[in-house]
Amino acid sequence: MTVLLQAEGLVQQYATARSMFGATSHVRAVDGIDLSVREGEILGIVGESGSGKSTLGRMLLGLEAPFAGQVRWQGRPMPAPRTKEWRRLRAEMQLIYQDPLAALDRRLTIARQIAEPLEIHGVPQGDIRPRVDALMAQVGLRPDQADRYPHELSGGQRQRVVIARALATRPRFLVCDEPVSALDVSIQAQVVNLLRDLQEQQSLTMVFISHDLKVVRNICDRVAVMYLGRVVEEAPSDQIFSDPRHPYTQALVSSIPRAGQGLGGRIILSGEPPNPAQRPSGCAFHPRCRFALPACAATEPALARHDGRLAACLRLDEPLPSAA
Amino acid sequence: MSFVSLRDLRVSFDGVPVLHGIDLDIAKGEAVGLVGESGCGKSVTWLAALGLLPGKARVSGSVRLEGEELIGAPRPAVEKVRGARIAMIFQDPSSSLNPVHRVGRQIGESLRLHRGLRGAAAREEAIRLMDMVGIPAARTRIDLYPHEFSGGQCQRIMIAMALAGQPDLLIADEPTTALDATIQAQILDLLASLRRQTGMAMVFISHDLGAVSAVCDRAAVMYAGRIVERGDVSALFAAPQHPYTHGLFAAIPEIDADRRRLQPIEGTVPDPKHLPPGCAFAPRCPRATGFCREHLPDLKPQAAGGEVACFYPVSLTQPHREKALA
Repeated sequence: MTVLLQAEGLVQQYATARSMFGATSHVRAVDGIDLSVREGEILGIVGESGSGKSTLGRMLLGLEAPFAGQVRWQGRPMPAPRTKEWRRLRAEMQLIYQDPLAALDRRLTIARQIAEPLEIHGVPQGDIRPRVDALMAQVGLRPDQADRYPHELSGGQRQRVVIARALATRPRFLVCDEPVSALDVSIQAQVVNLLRDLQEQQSLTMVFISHDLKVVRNICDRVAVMYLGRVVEEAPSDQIFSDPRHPYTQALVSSIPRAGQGLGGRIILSGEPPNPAQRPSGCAFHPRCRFALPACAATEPALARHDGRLAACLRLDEPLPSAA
Repeated sequence: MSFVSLRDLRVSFDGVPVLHGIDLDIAKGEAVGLVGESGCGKSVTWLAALGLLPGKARVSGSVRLEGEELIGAPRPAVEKVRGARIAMIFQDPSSSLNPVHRVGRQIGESLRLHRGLRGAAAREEAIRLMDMVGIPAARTRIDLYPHEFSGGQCQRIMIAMALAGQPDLLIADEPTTALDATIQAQILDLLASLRRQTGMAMVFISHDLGAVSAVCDRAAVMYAGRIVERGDVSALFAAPQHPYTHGLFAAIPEIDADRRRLQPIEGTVPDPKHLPPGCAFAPRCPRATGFCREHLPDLKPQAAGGEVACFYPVSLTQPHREKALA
């Protein structure tokens, strides 16, 4: 499979005002990420809030210029934001957000919302309406809903509108940022299946950002786990959930409540997710890690190949007790 | 006798009924889960029971606490129950705490209202409660403001405030939904250990079936303002009998299963203004017949255990998730 999108050493840094007189400090939301997205695959990105998932997603789309590093689209560097080439590229890559009501204009009908990107990208006027009808049918919206407004639809239907709009320009690459998190479980499954069908029928490439590991497990081919702006483990979906190796991934996977299993056998992490403004030394996870050694506070582990996956942990080569 | 009993509890907003007669008993010390999708009435049930709904809501039926009627009771009587006998925590801790007051003062307020503690005694008790819910260095952090704590810690502080009145029943309304996975696990653990320590009963409202099964003894599944199925958690999860419960389980991806297509429940939850005449789930139900569309099933005890409101329950001869049973 060819690589569609490649991230090399991506860093995003934001300035935060510390105090009235103090110097500004910097927060690294994304701290050196190398990632490649292959054509036709769904890559999952998981991690807790503040781990930099959404920032990474926006950088992969070229919506934010990286502080350091670069994104290559089909081997070529991403054009600078707001240039002509960048705008042309917008048709090929789209973003789907978590909250469909916020992503839609509540004064426009459904058909107008879906038509908008077509107008922007210069589709002839006569072709727009048939294309809108086809898109609505594709995502499972009824023709009579075309003249409705967003508030007249349910949450799941609104998310279908957002997806139809994202598909309007026939993109090759989608970043879905928590696309089903705001939906009820019975509706979640409808939208997950829709995304899956799109990937299979049109061989769309997707980056699927979510904190819902069950959904990620179901839809993604490959998964990258982020902790404080870095990837700590990356592996095929089956492997990462059945045999997680990084202690953080192990805790994350074990923390998923399973129906009918009670509270036993889980790894309960002590402490809170750390603050990116005060990144711990060495391995950022060491203050919460069950296996941490003094060396972990001093040395930053590199993301290295280990038993068919990538993982960043100093103790990977030792025989560790596996997660329950 | 049950500690709290709800009988035919009904709520309507602006003439639109949203809760259609809930019967529920909570015994002392037990943990009961309430499961369902948004808008099914899980939270409204308890907001109505505690008199926390806005004035436009019309509440009827009966909520008895050890025999004492709460619906229609004078305000002071309800206020003596709320917080002191029955406490409630909500989904979003940061919006439930007052951002301009120190957390110690907010816990102290509960202690003064419900237990008459003031001054140094209240402060010592607030520190003890913060310790109990697992806030590190409670003594030095009691004078911090809510924004100085993380989301998980704010939820711990909310739990400390709820425990301040030494309630016999804690209503936890989606207490872990807004939290990260590893923090969710911590809070579920905390709630389970607090129940062991204090012996309080708990109602756990959630759409997360896994979380409910982890902390509850019994569970009730709600759909469109009615309880459609209830029973012991183990039986309910091993062999759901109502087609809605069955569909809900099938719609959730399994972390251990293969990556097969999910089975969604087609359609959407009905609008409370235009409920179907018969069973509210009939338009989405694969088993529904013409009879279901005209008649409303009652919640009835089943031969296989549990209670189900369905004319054609899923029989045990079609077990679902054999793996979970094995």
